[in-house]
Amino acid sequence: MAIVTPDDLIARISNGYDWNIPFAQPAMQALRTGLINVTSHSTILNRCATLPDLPTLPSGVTSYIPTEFAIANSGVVGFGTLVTELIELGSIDMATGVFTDGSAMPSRTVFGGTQQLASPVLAMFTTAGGGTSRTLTLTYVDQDGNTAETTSALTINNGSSMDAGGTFPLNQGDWGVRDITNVTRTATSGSGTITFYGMVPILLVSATPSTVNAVVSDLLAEGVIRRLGAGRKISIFTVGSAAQNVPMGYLKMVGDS
Amino acid sequence: MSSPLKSLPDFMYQQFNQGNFNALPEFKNRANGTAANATSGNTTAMRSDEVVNIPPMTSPVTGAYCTRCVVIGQNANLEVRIGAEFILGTLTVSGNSSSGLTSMPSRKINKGSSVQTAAYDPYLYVDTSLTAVTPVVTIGYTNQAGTTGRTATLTLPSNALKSSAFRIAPHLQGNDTGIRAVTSISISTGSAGVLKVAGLLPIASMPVATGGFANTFGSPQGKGSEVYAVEGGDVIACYRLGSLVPDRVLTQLVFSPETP
Repeated sequence: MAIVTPDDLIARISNGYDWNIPFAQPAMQALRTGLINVTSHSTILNRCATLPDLPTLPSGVTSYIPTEFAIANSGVVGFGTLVTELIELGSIDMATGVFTDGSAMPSRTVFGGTQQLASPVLAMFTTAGGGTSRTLTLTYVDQDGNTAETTSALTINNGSSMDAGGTFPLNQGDWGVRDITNVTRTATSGSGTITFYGMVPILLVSATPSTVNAVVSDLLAEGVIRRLGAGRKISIFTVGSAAQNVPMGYLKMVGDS
Repeated sequence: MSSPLKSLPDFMYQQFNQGNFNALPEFKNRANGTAANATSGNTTAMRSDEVVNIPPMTSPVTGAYCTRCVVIGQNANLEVRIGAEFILGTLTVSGNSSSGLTSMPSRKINKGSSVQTAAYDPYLYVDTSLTAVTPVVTIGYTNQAGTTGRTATLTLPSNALKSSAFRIAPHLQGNDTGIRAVTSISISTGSAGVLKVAGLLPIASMPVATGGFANTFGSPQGKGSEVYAVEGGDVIACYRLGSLVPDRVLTQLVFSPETP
């Protein structure tokens, strides 16, 4: 029987269906150069840790349920943290201008019915890139499922680090997309691959500096109920800052039955 | 009734069974607004360019409560007020024409019975930039106790810009604390622009500290304030106080469902 109560949860933990995934990745040893021009109404999102893809479901487990998350960082200043599942919506080769379409945002059970999710678009270099005078334009289906529309051209920074990203500004009135149908670029020179992701959030939280105790979040008590299948990709981002630091912490999960 | 506010088992049961709404909206202002003054709400505020629509609810789900609201600002030192927004009236400046005059809805508070609500922090916001020199806006309303024939008067700055929001509460009549319904809106002068009166049922009112830090308005069981239920189709808006420059906040909103 699936977990629906705290007693169910405790029983699963007692029977050994729980996991602890630590992370301590030196992924931000140097100041990142942000991809997006932050004056263009974009939130900096720099990937600081990537958890292993969730493994094949063990016998007796139908999904993974995140239950607790903890994070601290090596720096002396705290920052915001986003723990999120990533959905690859598409990518563009900045040398050739070729767009490769990915998935649309998935559908989940929301308020008793099936609802296609929506998300801000995270744009991030996934193979090293550079160039000058580059702009990007997105064509997308918005959070309400309206006919695809196109953004204004966005000028991106000339030199950008891997995993340095930000939210791509959408048209006024839109906070998210259900799908990206095309990306075009103008450039006098360019290289690298920029990938566009949707985010299905697990947690948005603070990460404390090294001088204080780590923030520990009880996800279920905070109302963040997620069921994750095998192969899901979970990344951790610093929000609003490109500063260098080394994050460390863990994500605990329980196996649903 | 199974309400996420009733107990922790109910809280978990509803989310596991019916599915919560977990969104990550960016609330943005893309352009400067116009500062408030003593005759127009005192505190400078801006309404976000984006709103979030609460998804439809499938029986037996009848409502939902915000059980997590986390805000991270790109820049420092803001206060945000996030709530379910209800447009109580629209004024088109050209022709001094009002429309859509209506009441705040009935909603459950703290899983109790559905009651007539009042807006305790209503805003007059600029939907289309004004062409008007220090216009006087007069709002006729029914107050929080149901008393009719009340009046609020604001004198706005000249040519207020789109998304500027002016707090009405400081200008309510007498000792009134809220608005149940708007019955009239008029303006003394002007040739262009659109104003709207918005009432909020608050979800979170919180400071956004040093840029990058998250402030959390977590699960409501520990909160002493009233918690309003939302329904499918309700609109969630964000008002930023204390700044008129372009900015954005990244927000995690989680709404947990309720069934009879």
